[in-house]
Amino acid sequence: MGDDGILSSAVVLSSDSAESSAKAALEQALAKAGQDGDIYVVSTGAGGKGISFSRQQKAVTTCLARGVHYLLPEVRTVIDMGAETITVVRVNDRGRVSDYGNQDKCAAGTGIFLQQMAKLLRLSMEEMATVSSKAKDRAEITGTCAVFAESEVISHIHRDPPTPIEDIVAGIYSSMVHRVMAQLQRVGMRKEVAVTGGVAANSGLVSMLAEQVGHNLLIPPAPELAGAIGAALIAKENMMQEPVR
Amino acid sequence: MIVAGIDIGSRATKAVLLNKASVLSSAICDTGPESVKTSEAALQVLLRGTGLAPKDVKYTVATGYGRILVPFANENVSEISCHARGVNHCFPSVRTILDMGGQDCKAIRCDEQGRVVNFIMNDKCAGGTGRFLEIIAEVLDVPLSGIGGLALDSKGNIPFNTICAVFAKSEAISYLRKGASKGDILSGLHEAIATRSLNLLKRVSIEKDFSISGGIAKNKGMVQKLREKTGLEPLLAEDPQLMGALGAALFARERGQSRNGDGLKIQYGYADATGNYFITVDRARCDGCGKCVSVCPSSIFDVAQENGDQPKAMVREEARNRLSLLCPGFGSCAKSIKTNCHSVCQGNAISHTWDSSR
Repeated sequence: MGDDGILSSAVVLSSDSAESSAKAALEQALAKAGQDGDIYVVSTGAGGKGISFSRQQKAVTTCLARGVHYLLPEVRTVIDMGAETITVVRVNDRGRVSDYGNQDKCAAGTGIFLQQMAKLLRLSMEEMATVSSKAKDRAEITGTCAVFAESEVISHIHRDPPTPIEDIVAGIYSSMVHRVMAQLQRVGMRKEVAVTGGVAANSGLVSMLAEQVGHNLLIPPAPELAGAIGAALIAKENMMQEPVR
Repeated sequence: MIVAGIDIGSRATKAVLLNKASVLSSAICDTGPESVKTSEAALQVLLRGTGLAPKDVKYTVATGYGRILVPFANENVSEISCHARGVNHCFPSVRTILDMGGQDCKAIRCDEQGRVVNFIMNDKCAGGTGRFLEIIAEVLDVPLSGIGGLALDSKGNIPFNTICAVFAKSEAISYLRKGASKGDILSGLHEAIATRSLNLLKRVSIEKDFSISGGIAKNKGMVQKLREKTGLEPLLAEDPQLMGALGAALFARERGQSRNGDGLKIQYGYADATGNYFITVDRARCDGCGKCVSVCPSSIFDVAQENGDQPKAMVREEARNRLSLLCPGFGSCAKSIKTNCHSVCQGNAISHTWDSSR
């Protein structure tokens, strides 16, 4: 991020080493922007702690709030659906966190869960999103545990007659929506509502969530970047405040 | 009189044959996709070598999650009652039982006659179940029977901060890549499961004489971790996996004995990796008025008769496995809804335990 906004961005799959993943992402982003040299880095996320070149580390919720406020200033509630977490953040009119709830102890309802289900059904994420729009019914999937949900899906596939695949996908989405709604109820919802995180790219899931929320959901472009944008905004603020040496 | 008890679990089917005085034979086989065939196969194995035919078995009680599908069973009894009964037969002094099965884990409290006083079941989360151990054994490429020994022999202990089977699997893989030994990983996982089981046990309160039943009780590493965690020596039956089937066989022998559901506190709900969610109904205090049924915005409650007892409030079957999604907990609910299930209940029979901040 420069003085006039976002210069470039990069998304890299996290590996075992947070340091090397972070380095790769930063190098890509710098290459795209044609920049190099001394930059102020703020890190966030599950691996945000172990980064040697980061000047400061910030909580995901803080960065999400800031990032979404920058992208969509009217938003007061952010639902972040990541690979291993579901986070709901209430944002005030200055982009600060007023309340949040975070679920990171259980894989049910997270991106990993969705990925695992897609693999089981032999569908890509894109195929999954389109298939669900054809569903006439929702297969019953309890969704309190990713492992047990897998056996439930298998038994739907092998049922006689087998449950249509679109109904299974709708059932999977519905179980995820239930988890998100539970988190949303705990934190409380104010309009407008945005969805971020990699899972937000799945249109089928988001439309089912919108139905449950009873309100239109806003999705920023590249929803998985919201936290990183927030971190960059904080980095910029920090730089301004630091005395020039 | 020859009687049989058959326990169709999620992963294994167990059966016990009894006569008036003692156990004649027992059988353990895998639960196949069809419970009917599985139960018939188990009966055959059970009768093999005894010189008896199926018609000689006068009464059969089926238990376990596949109990409804046993064609030759005279009666179904819940596996919780059966485990309590079976353990009580082996160790009359035991009041607390931890049943660790293939897809669930239960802490049971029983009285001196082996009747269930209180229990907590976790069947909504694979963390801490046999399924969890199977997944881990597969990832580490160790036979299931070998993991307990490896965990026992390990000196190190890798702390796992998750009990979610999916997350634990990826954590285990990343530790393997970093060069951690299988034993240390297993030790850490056994420790995590033992801690979780201890939490279940604490909820029904642990007494000095406690026992572990179910297939996982054969895992020496797990038993050792539980011994350390509880500070008690668990009493283990010769084959702890058979306790449910033994209890069912004992029930079969005592057919017709009426059981009294009053004075029992029933906890509905579950503990998953996100926290504990339980609604407790004190059946002695509930007068079955049904006011809770009408005030709950999520229609969680119902009033129904069970085993010919007085009608009592209970959590609807469909609501039990998604309680945390339907009910925000009493604290959050009472803030906005003044007339709630607690305020309308004359006898204060309903209580909520919501602990999602674990």
